[in-house]
Amino acid sequence: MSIAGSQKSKKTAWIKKYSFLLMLFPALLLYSIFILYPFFNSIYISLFKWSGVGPITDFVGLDNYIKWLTEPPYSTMFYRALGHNVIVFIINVIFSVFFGMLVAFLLSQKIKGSNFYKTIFFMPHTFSLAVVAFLWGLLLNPQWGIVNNLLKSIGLGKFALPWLGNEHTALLVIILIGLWHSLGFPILVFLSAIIGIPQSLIEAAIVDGANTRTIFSKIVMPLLIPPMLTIAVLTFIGSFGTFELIFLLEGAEAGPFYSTDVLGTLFYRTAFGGMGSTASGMGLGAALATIMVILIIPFSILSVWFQTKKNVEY
Amino acid sequence: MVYAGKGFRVKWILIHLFLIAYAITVIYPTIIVILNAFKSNQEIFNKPYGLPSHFSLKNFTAAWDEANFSVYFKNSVFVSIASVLLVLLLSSMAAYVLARFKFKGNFVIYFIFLLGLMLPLRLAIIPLYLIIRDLHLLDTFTGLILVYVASGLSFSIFILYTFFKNIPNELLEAARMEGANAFQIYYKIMLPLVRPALSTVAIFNFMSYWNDFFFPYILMSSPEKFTIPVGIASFFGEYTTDWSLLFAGLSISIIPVIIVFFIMSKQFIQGLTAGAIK
Repeated sequence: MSIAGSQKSKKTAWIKKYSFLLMLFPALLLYSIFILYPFFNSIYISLFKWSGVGPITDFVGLDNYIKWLTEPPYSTMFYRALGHNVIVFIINVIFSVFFGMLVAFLLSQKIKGSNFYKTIFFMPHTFSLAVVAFLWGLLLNPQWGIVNNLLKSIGLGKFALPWLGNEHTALLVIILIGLWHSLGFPILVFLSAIIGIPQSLIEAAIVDGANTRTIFSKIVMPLLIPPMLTIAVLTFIGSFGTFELIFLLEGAEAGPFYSTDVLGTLFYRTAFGGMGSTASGMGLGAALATIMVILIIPFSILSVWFQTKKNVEY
Repeated sequence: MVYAGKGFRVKWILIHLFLIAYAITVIYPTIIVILNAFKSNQEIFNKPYGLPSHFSLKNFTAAWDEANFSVYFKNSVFVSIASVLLVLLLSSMAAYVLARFKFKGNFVIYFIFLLGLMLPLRLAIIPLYLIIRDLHLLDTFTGLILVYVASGLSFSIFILYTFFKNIPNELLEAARMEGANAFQIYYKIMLPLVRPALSTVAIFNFMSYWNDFFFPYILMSSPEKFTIPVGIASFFGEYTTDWSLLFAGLSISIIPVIIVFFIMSKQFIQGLTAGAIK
């Protein structure tokens, strides 16, 4: 009796000691089911030929990957989409870094209304991409759209194009719409970096006889490199995940003539149909998703590394 | 860097001109949308960028009642708030345990949560869709909310962890001496202390739920369960040429966001740039 009693109290003591784990459990459970498992399962599915219905039995090894990387028509679509992602990234990173830094620099000059400007520039960032897509879709409407109307009224009527329906302009216009939505973010990141530069450092340099150019190249620029890297990395992740604007403005087929097709829309078409006559290919889709994860993950690791480094400094 | 006289003034004028030009590119399209929401189709066609001849709320009430915007709005409010409350509760409990208790696997679990920051969840949508289907949660708010909560955990735990870590030990010891258990300490002492971090996490998650198009588009199929971003997509498919209704729908989607943003812009900017800015 006494032994059983002490065992029982030992047990309750143990339960009491580790009861705090109960508070960790719900988060861990949800995270395992809805985040971790899907990623591992996605890799598993990518090794099978599977249309999405019935059991997953037709093991094909790395066939789905080989198809995307080497076999037309899959590889044609893959490299075309990848190329578009690269274009999206290059234009975005140039604008985000240089335009973002320029605007941030101007805002840091103690100008009147700088807070107001800052708030305005950031505003579109709070809109849903779906709203942004349709907002610009309406303004760019070819028959009636306000943009073309405006162009005609200022004598540039020959530039009144069906911007989103022209295969030469569609991707560029969508990139610009995306920038309209997102530029406030890099501006704020650069602004906080510039404001964070200790004034005493600059004053000391002036005392030492440094001119504006030396101050900029020796003090300001080196301190701006970390935020530049942060923005470049986040832009890469964003550019390779781009989907909504293209899907909503150009459809799952990413028209005209696939001129706006990116990996995101190609993945959507493959997994959820719209690839033509064949049924949707879950195995192929999962393989494409895995390829995309592999492309993005080095940059994600960098971005998390930047973030944790910052947190340590608190 | 001393500027004097004329050159000084010219410099400031140029800076303001540039900033105003950029501000106009941001505001003008937004204002055009809101102004046109008051006009009839005929008026939109004839003079798309003037003030409306009279401010009638007809289009707004039509979009709100007939075109289901009231329903989309309610759904968005419900799903976003429920998900935010749940993610706050789960992530703060988990972050507290991970930051303040020593046990085997502690750091490994934290690291596994951080992994979620690196994985874009939409790329795992195929298995995720299948799980939700097998749990019979397709086209239910429960399914969507569970996905949102799970997707917000990594970032939230990451932000809260640092805050819990920085709380001085003395406070905890005092509470323990008085016989408070882990949950009481969490609820009564820890949570109030990390309130600023909780609001950052709440805003960040709320905005990503409120604005998300992807997950409800894949997981929900009944129009009466759409949130605003999916609602607006189906609305644009349905009323393709009814300009006044489309502008009114867009306005209903952006006006509340603009108002809340301008009232709390500081908190918003802090919340939405958390992680990238110190």
